[in-house]
Amino acid sequence: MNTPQILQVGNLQVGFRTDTGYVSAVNGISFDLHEGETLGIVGESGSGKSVLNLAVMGLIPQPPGKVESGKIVYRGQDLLSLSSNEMCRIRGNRIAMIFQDPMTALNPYLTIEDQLTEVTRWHLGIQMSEARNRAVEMLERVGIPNAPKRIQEYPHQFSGGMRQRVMIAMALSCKPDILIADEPTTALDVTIQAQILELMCQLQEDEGTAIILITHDLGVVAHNCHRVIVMYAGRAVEQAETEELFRDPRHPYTLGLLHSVLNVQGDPKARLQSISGQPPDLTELPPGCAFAPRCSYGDEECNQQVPILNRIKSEGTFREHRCLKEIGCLRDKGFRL
Amino acid sequence: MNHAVHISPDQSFEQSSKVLEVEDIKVHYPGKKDWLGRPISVVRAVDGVTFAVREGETLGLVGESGCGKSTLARAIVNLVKVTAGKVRIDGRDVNTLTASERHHDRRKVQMIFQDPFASLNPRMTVGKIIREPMEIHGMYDRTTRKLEVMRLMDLVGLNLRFMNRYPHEFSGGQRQRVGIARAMASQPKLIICDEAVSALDVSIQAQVINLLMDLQQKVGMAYLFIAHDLAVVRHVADRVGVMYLGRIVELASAKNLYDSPLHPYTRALLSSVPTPDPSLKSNQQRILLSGEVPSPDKIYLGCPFSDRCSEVEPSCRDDFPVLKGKEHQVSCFVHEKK
Repeated sequence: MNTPQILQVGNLQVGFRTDTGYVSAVNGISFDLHEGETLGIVGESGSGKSVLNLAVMGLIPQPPGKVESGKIVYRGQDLLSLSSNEMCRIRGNRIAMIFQDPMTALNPYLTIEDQLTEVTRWHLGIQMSEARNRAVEMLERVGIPNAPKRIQEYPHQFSGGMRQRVMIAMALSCKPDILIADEPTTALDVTIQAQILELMCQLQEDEGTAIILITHDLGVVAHNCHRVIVMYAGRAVEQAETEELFRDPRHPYTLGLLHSVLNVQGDPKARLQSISGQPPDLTELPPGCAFAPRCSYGDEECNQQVPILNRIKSEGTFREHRCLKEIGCLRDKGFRL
Repeated sequence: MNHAVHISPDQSFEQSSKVLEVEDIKVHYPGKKDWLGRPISVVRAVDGVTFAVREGETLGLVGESGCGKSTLARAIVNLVKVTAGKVRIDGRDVNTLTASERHHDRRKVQMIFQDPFASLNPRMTVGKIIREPMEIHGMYDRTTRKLEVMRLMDLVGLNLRFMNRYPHEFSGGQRQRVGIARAMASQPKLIICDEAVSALDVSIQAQVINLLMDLQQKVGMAYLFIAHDLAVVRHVADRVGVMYLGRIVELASAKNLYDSPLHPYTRALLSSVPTPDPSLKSNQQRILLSGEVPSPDKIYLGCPFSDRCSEVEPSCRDDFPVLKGKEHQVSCFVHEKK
């Protein structure tokens, strides 16, 4: 993306103190986000993708959580150094978030009107009547029929897809620069998922909002993201342009993920190449590469030292992967896990 | 069980006998109530479904949430009461059986549930969980049971030293393996997998799907595979039924259904699935359905899909479509005219 950079995350480390030990949920992640870009973050449950974004929003519960080190720079301002009051002015206003489960993210006691107008009145300081007009306008934009009447209703009167539309309307009502969508369509059916993703793309085109899309669905990533970060056990193991990543994965874990995914258009009945074993326990991460125990390329060296990030630059873009073995294009070699 | 059935992908299942037959089955619940508590509407969760599963076959059922797929599964194993229709297991009508006969027949159909955290008793060890179906059905003596538990654990890829551990000590994928071993313990002819892999991460999902398919190859039981993920169903199923509002709207072999879907709803569903390949982004044509699945207590005179259908004709709203066809069954007036 050749647009100006809007968010920069550098070497971020987030940990949690739990009963079973110290969990290092995000372990040194760096990325840049540009205006109008969609950045996908994929990974399995427990890979730290949600914690990473909660840290950007300043929503890590402290204690038990703690942002150990790193920086999160939004428009030249380090968000980690802001006071909670200052952060409140950015959160929901300049950086907004959509959560996975729209039922628990909306307040069941308040009407949609109360919840939508609260955002704009608080951040923009406008009057109730104007806020109400804006709320109705936003609901119409996200495709809720009969918006002036439905705005009086409560969340339980909306279906799952409609609630997610309300969430999007709420997140976008202050015209944020960055929208963080944490599994926005996981709880929805495929036909509704298609509607919601289409809507998000449309709104991005109109407003130029940068989107961070967290998902575990590689299909959603392939269709909606410009760049992708693959996370494993709190580390970014690979980052590349979407097309590059799918065509030429450089990390064995990325390749394993791509092989595990079923495709409606692929070869049916072929045996799936799954990744053997289980994701590691975050309280006792191995000293070396966290993927080494499951990787067929892994050897003694991999178990000993954490691989550094290899950065490859080409034609104004770059890609990164974190693997000791310079295995090049895994797909071309017919690499099998 | 030694009668392993080896089936090549192209071989049809027409010769083998039917393990499960479902005939015009209906499950209705009382819906909204008036001020005296009398029901004034009926929720038609399952409304006239007919199909059969043959020995060693996998029948997939897909549909959006609320289309009645899980209710159907529960009705087959008698966890919810059937309002009308017949369920025949191994040729015997379940409703005409005596209690003890029914108890005996339950061995033949087992179920794997979606949530591996909720479907295993937290106070039982894994060994006990897998052994329980054998005890209930009085199979084997004590020592053989123990050997059988070990055989099953080995079969589903669980380490034998886990036998005395409790479910909370396992990850989601391992728990689902325990669920599979338990379902296989009574040597069923049919296993109903109700969203058995939906709660798992992709890499673990692939492991469990491979396991289910390997087990079918080895042991030869049939699956009724219920899922909302169309790609998963295509991968495992020989035949696939698409459900919408409590009915099957299309039923065909997996190949025919995915390569040449006839019902507009099936086409829309298939086009909504994002393919994990960015190069297909531009040439994949999406049919965006407007609106959402209507409430199942609504009464339709015509085709229930007519409100959302892109090919709807005025005549669609006059009459009720029924499933027609032999190999490739579909219930759509527009298709009939073609």
